[in-house]
Amino acid sequence: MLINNKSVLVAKGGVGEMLETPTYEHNQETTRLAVASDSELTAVVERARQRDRQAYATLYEYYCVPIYDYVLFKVGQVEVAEDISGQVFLKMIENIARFSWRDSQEQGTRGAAFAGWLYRIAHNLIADHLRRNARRPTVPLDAVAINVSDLHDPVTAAEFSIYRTQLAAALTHLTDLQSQVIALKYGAGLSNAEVGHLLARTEGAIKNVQYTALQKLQKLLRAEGQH
Amino acid sequence: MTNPLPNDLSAILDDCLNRLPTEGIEACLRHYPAQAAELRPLLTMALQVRASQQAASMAVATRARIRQRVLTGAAAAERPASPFGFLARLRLNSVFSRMALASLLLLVMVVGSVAASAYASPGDLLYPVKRGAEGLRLGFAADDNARANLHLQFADNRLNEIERAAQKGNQVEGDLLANLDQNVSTAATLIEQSQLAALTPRLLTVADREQQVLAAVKDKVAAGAKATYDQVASNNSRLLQIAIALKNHEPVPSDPMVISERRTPEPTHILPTAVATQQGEPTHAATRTHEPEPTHILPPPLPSREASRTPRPEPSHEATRTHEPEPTRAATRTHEPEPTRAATRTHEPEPTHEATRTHQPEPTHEATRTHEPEPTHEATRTHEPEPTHPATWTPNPTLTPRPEPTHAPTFTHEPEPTHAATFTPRPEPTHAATLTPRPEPTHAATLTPRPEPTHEPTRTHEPEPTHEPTLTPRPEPTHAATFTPLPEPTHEPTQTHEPEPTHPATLTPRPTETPRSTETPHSEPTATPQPTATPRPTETPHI
Repeated sequence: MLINNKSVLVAKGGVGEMLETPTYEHNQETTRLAVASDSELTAVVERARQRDRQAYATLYEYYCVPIYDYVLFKVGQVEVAEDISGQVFLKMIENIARFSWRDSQEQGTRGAAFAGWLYRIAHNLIADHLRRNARRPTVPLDAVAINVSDLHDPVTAAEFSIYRTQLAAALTHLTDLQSQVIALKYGAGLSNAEVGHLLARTEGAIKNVQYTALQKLQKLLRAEGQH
Repeated sequence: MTNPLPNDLSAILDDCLNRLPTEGIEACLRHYPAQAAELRPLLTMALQVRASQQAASMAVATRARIRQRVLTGAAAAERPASPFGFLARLRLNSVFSRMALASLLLLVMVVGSVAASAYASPGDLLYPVKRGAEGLRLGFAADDNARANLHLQFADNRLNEIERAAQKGNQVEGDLLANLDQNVSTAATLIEQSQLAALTPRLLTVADREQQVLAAVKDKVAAGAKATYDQVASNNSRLLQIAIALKNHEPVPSDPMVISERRTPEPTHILPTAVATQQGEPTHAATRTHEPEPTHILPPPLPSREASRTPRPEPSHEATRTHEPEPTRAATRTHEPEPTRAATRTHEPEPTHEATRTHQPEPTHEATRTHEPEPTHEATRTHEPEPTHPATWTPNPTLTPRPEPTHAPTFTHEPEPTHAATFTPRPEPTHAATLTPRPEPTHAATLTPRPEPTHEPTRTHEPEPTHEPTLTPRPEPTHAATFTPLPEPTHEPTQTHEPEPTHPATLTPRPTETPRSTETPHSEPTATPQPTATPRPTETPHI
């Protein structure tokens, strides 16, 4: 899901509030990784290192949506996603002093580098969460399946909620790489190029992973679903 | 897209996926009719996934909510890091787990502090914990036997602390003395009242040690504690008499007359006014000072109990005992069928090595007493292994070869040797461990090896357990043969209080105590039991 850059992702100078619900657009040209120019991001991160609360808020605004979407995709529940998302940014604040740009010296790569760091934090927190809840009964995959015949048909929020939970459970049956690719692409809405950049793989490799992952997912969901 | 259509399946799929938002499934598949069948389910699912994700996109409220949480957490993180910050990171999501963690930490702290306070000395940070733990243990004691054991152990603790303080050059505080006296007195009372024969040797050992220690620290007492010291010392004399009498199964010598030999100079206040400090008995102590206390051999601290015990066969001292609450103790000594022995017992109080112990039937008790539960206490005495089992002493000189188990053996050949062996195990057993082979068994033959050994020598160092080993050398054995002073001294060395050793070898009314004199080095002062024996000059000394 991409959002109008101006209203959300590029919130320079302060905490901006989104005034409109973002519409889904899969726009490969708009990247969710580079929310600001390199110099701006560097400056904001530097201020954050000095414990500047405004910098914290700015960074939050830059990345809160993609991170939240990514987390929600992987865990399936809104409350848990909110909780973990908050923790991601708290950990960011806690460890920002230790963050270094290292090899992101090229132009335009800093946004991706910082985003990649946040996704790694999110990934680890999600793994902790899943490990903790491993013993708890997960939503069985054979829950009520959603009949989505038309994309524009309104589907109830409850059905979507169940579907998301099923999807998150199905993701646990994929390999780590597969679930990463799917979550980054369909959760965070990144492009193949961006995913490849984050995971240090070529676009073609990402496509292959996507293909096998979707096939597997479809089999898993079909097991209890109706399609 | 202007690019040529991809060939491989993954590329085709990806291309279709990209087209989906704008074209829809069927339109996309028309581009790839060959793979349409295979791709259709994938595309359908992809649409569903996107739709669900879209429906759950971050709402404005959610966004604001999370932001608030993040900024608040950031502010909290800025506060000075607390050493327990890691606790905040623990996921204690429920009140229950928080409470469980808190109570677990509390338990660990309590247990740790109690354990660490084992060697605490007055003035240490953990000393109040130590004393508090003692009180708690008393509260949990099941019966009189357990309580008496605990009191004896605590008395040993106080003795250790006093010795340590003296070693360090500090002044001995009145509280230590008072508490010591209270514990010993209470133990004696319990033993007498409840006829805890098994504990008598230990009581004797403790009283003996007390005598030694008191003598040793006489000039190290704190300024305001001189009166307390005097009271304790006088109580101790009486206590020794009582202990010896108990050991010999004689009536508790409440009357000064009764204990002719031992006539410790204090006879009058048989039960010393119990250092009133703690017991509040001081009052009667004062009055009774010379009273024929005989009955209340035990220090007054337990006035109440005494009264009940009057009916003891200690006829002689019974009478006198009236005033002493302790009298009961004397009375309790009913089992002292030896009223007659009382006379003989005079030297009894002495350290069991009453060599003269004609082997009275006591030996049996002695023997029996040997393993008495003390061993168990010993065990409990964890770090105060005060081998206090002075009990082993039994050297009731008068009792003839009383089972002084430890040294008895040699004497009259009382079966002592056996109990000597056995004896030792008593209370000592626990600390005996340290004592290891209490020489008792050995001296069973010679009697000398008073079981005391254990506590003797080592007593100095609190961990009492060591006493055990020291006890062995109880010079008692020596007197076995000659009753002369217990050569025990072996353990005496440390324990000085081995005082027992000296006595009894010669059943003679303690005058033999003198042998003690030989022992004097350590025992004299403490060996109050000797008192009767005349020269026990040491006795008084500590007074």
